[in-house]
Amino acid sequence: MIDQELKRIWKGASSSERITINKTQLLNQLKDKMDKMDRNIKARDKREIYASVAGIVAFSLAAWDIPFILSKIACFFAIGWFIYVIYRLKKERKGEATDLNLSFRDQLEQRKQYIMGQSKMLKSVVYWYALPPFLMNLLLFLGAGDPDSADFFLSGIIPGSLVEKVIIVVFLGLFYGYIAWMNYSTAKKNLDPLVEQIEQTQRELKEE
Amino acid sequence: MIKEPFEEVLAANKEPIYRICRIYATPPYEAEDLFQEVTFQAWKSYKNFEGKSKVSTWMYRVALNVCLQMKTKHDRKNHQTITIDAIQFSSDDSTTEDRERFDQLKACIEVLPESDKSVIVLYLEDLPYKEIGNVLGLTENHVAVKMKRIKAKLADCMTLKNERYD
Repeated sequence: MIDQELKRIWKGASSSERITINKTQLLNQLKDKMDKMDRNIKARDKREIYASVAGIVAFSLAAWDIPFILSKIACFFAIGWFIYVIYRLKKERKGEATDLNLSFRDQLEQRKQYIMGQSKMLKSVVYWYALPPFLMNLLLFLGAGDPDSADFFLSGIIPGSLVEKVIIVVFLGLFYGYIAWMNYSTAKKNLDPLVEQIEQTQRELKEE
Repeated sequence: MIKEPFEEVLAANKEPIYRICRIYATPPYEAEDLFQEVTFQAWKSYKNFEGKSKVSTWMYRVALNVCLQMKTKHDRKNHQTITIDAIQFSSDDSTTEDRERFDQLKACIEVLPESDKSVIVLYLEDLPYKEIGNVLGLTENHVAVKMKRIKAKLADCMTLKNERYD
């Protein structure tokens, strides 16, 4: 009795909701949405590549122009880092595509792996996104001698005295520390609970 | 395999899909948002449908998977859903008994664990245990055992709500 009653209640709800589908417009609109999303993704990719290329060009010029060897090395590291960040972001995004044809159980596992990957990426920001540019800046600024001793591309922004150099390095340390902390805290606050939630559902699904 | 046009598949399954979306709709997403997202994702995946199951079963699978994805989006506040103007929703404002009873049932389903929720919505759509198992990745026996427990929970909850309602 309860079965039939529950099904009747469940299906009875549809009588009060009307969904109208304009079949002739539907496919065109879906295609338009898809094209728009593709365009947005391409535009985002282009923006990242342009920013990266600009950074690479600027540090290449600096590496060529700056007369101090340690600062030159810092510029080469910066170029490598720009390339790595683009590669890393692209790699992480690839994992987001999910196969909706999978069963719910497999989908849970796939989703969990993706979110765990994102969490790991954010928690490790300190190692690949914060520390490298901080060390590069450290090398760039502390490795530079007296900027007035030569006329070069970055001479206007490289601090001259040791005190100024220490102040700027401390400031950068705080800045990159904040970025790392913010990402770590996002992973702990938003992603880890999602992983726990999925694991809980996986456990419940296994239970009889 | 000759596939039905997607728009026909959607039209034939719109009500069950919408019912599922109503169960999974949690702020900031409304059932309408989920339905449109399911439509978009199902359309994108339809080319991969190999006809190993009924197309309606496939649609349920996609709907559950999309609802799961939306539930586990970490940037839910910033995430905008797809809006498709070709799909229009209108509701009957009159308070019918059916609507109230459905709200009671919805409330009882919502307090169930996530995995039980997915089992019961498919069962209420009249899917046999074997097909429920296919959608969820469980054996038929496993589904049967689960169903026995879920039905008992649901019956208790509905009885309680009916007593209050009466």
